[in-house]
Amino acid sequence: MSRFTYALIALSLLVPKQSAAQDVEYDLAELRARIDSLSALQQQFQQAARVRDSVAAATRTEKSSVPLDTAVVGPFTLITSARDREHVERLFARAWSEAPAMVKAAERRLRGSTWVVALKSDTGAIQTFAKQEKLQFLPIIYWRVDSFAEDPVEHALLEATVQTFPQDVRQWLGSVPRSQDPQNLRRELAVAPGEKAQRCHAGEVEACIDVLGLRGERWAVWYTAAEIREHVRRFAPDLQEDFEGACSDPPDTEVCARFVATRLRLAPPVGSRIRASFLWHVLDRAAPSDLDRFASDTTATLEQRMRNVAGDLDAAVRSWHSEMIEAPQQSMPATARTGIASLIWFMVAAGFATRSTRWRLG
Amino acid sequence: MFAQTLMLNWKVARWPLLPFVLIAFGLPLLALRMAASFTDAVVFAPGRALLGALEIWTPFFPFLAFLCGAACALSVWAWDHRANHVYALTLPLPRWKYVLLKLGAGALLVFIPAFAVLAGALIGSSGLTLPDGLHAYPVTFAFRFLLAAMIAYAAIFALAAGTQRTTTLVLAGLVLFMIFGEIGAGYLNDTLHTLLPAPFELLEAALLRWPGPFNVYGGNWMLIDV
Repeated sequence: MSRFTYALIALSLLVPKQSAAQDVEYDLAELRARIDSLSALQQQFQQAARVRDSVAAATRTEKSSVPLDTAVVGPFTLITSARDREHVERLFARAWSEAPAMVKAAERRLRGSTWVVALKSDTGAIQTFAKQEKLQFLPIIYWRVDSFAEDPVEHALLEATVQTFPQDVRQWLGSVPRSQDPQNLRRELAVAPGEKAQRCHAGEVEACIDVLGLRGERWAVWYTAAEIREHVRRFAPDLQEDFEGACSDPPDTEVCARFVATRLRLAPPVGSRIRASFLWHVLDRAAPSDLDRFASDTTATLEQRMRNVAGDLDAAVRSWHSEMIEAPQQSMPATARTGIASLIWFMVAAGFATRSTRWRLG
Repeated sequence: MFAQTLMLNWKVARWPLLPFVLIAFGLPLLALRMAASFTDAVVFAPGRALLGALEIWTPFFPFLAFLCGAACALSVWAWDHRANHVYALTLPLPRWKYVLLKLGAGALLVFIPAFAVLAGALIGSSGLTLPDGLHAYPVTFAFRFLLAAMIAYAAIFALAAGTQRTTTLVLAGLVLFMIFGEIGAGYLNDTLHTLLPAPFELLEAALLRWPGPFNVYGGNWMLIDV
């Protein structure tokens, strides 16, 4: 080794070393600076992705027989006829601003969603275009926008949000229902088949967790053998002999459950509407971080994920139950409101009758 | 004067009203009996079966209410129309008072089929064993029937109180509004890119949805519900 090398080594030993704490501080600051620069890069990437999507959409619109245009609202790219673009943009902007928290929390997951929207006009041509481009088609009958659940735009936002959930949640939910009329929900739960469903209607939390299917599709838990026997007698009498073999009294639940699921095709006690009302109830009260975890977690069971996002699942079931069963009874009865309106119109008709030209002689 | 008007209206309307009263009494009875027989000894989803069986009958009741109101309104004006309103015009009281007396007396007659519905619903639901969670609402049901019949009565009474010319103008106006409104709305939507509703949609929203005059015909006509 040369004298020069020895000198270099000696010089390096003489340079005072920084303390360990200062090293960590320097590393953290450097990491922070790197993260900040990456965030700026990420924003640029997202902006470029939006431009790319718009360009791709514009390219697609050239292939349509109807002049199309593109709008971007929130995370959505909307393709519609050029003359309806402003209306569509306004509809979606309003729906997005009034969307529930669980929909807005899914903004990151919804990025890149593209719809082809038809506002009453040129529906056929626009639908053809959507089919050719394999895009989602959304027809909107503008004058039928009423409450939240009936508005097709708001329903579309809900559907898009549910599409970002894991496969088992989507399978459990089934379709996203349109109508969430509280009276219909109460009615559905009140007449749901099975003694377990009746106990849920009465307010038993464990029964509700079972009936909602949070612990899986468990026929032996939902229905008794007598109830299934009755169902077979009324709706599938040709399967009665096989049923007696599979679900003898007392029933072998495994064999019976397999028979019910594969041969009988018995529906669960409650359908998508009730399940969706519970899911919206839980997700609307969850923090955005919990929602993200709910949507991304594919390892835990559905029940566990519901517990994680709700915090206290029993309390969530109780509050959902009281909101669904009791709340509609507290509002002014529709009949009384109808009565007042009818009385007013009665008087209006009376006024017309007394003012008829026949009676205005002299 | 009101008692005399009432007696007069009763004399002219009692026979035309009789078949409607009998139907109004029998229909809820029949609906409930048939629904109960359909769900007897049902173990699986008896509530759902009962509501499903009863739902078949729900369109008949608003239609019957309309017919009862129309029958009352046309009956109370029948003699006046036959005599060209000569009697009414010779009476020593203001015209509007005469019309109001007639309206009030006829409205009392509308209560008769409504009471028949109430009686039929009460008798039919009293002997029924309802599944858990379901309740019978005979009084609310009969009240809704009464409101529907009253609105039909008032509307047709007002039309019948007018001249034939007025009725023709009203109906012709409606038809012309539908035709030209459809053409005009379509033209404006195409040229000015507006979103005007079709006349039928406007009428439906104005008349059948709250607070329109016929909103009572929508809503819940279930005699048994949660």
